[in-house]
Amino acid sequence: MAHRSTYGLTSRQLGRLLAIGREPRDEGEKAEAAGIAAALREMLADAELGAPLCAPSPPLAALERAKNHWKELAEGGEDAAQRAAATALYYAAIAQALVGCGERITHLPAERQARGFARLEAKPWVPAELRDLFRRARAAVAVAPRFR
Amino acid sequence: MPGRGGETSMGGAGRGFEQTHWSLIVRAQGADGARKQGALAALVGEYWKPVYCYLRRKGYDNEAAKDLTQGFVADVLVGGELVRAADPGKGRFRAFLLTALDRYVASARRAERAKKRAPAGALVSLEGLDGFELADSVHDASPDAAFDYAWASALLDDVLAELRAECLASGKAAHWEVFHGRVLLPVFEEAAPVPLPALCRRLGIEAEAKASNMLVTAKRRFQALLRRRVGQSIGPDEDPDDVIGDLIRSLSLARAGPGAEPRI
Repeated sequence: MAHRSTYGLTSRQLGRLLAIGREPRDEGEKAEAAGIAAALREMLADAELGAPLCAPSPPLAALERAKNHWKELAEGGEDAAQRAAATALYYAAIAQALVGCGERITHLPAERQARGFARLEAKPWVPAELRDLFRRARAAVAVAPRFR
Repeated sequence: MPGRGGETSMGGAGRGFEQTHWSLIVRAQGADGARKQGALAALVGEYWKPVYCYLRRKGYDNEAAKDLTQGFVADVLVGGELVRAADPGKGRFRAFLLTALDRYVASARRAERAKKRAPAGALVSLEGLDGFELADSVHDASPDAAFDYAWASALLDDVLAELRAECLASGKAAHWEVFHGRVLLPVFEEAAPVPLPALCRRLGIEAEAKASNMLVTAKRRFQALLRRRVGQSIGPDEDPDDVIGDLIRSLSLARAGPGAEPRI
């Protein structure tokens, strides 16, 4: 049986089809998320490159070092879990600079920063302290003109 | 028969190089007119309807929106301006395209050129443009929401056609039929799903449990194809699920306007 075009359906009908396409993923993907969470925990435990991301008032230079390090790993990490975790920490360094130091350490446009923070905030494998950091950074980038 | 994107069978592995919208544009760089148009054909096919809907909701009438759509595709998309400005680091292709479209429309001189070119219709053929109209569902929507509606529709049409073709090519026509009866029909007709026993009888499936498994398989494949398709339009650090979520939110806004939903 053929199917007709979706063009002409109501917005609600299109939304229903998209929602079906976005239903929760299967067990394999849950295991993948657990792998990312484990990699993230390990990286955060690094005293020089992980700990400053959750410290109350970290030195800006340490955050810039961390950002550069995690960016490199996000692009060239050994496996998908490592790259995903490193991407989260790259954004965490940017977020911590905004929230903890009031400084911008990236050329990413504000819109992309906000989207990255929001996306990571929603990930089940992101720990609560980072989720809170992303939430505050998203608010900061939205209201402060100098971060835009 | 391999499907698009290097899939070897329904749900099978064997994915090759994944072409993104950005990589299509990069490939088009330096190509001549005809080769460039060939490289960008997929983009043209996917985006001209959203562009038209966006322009209609910007206030242009049917003819002006069609002329501008034709002009934008010919001058900017295929003509090379978009290719020259392309930067995958800019993230979502949608935002990049709409920025280019706004710039194009803002130029009265270019709009005039588009109008002059349209009757000749020579540069880029947009199949279906002549009879195309704004969908009832987005008559009162914002330009962005109208764009998203048409883009979501184009994505879903493409994904459903691909799923059906895969099912037929891999001897799994019954998977498609089960998916159609249980998932598509209820959405398209706003009706109850076809009962599993009826589907089993019609398709000669011996057990309902087997039909359920077929449904799960087809649904997973639909999800994978949709995520892959959406993934082609975004940067490497973005998640297709986020884009799908944004589309769902945008569609819910599109129907918030008065009279946005057609009466049944």
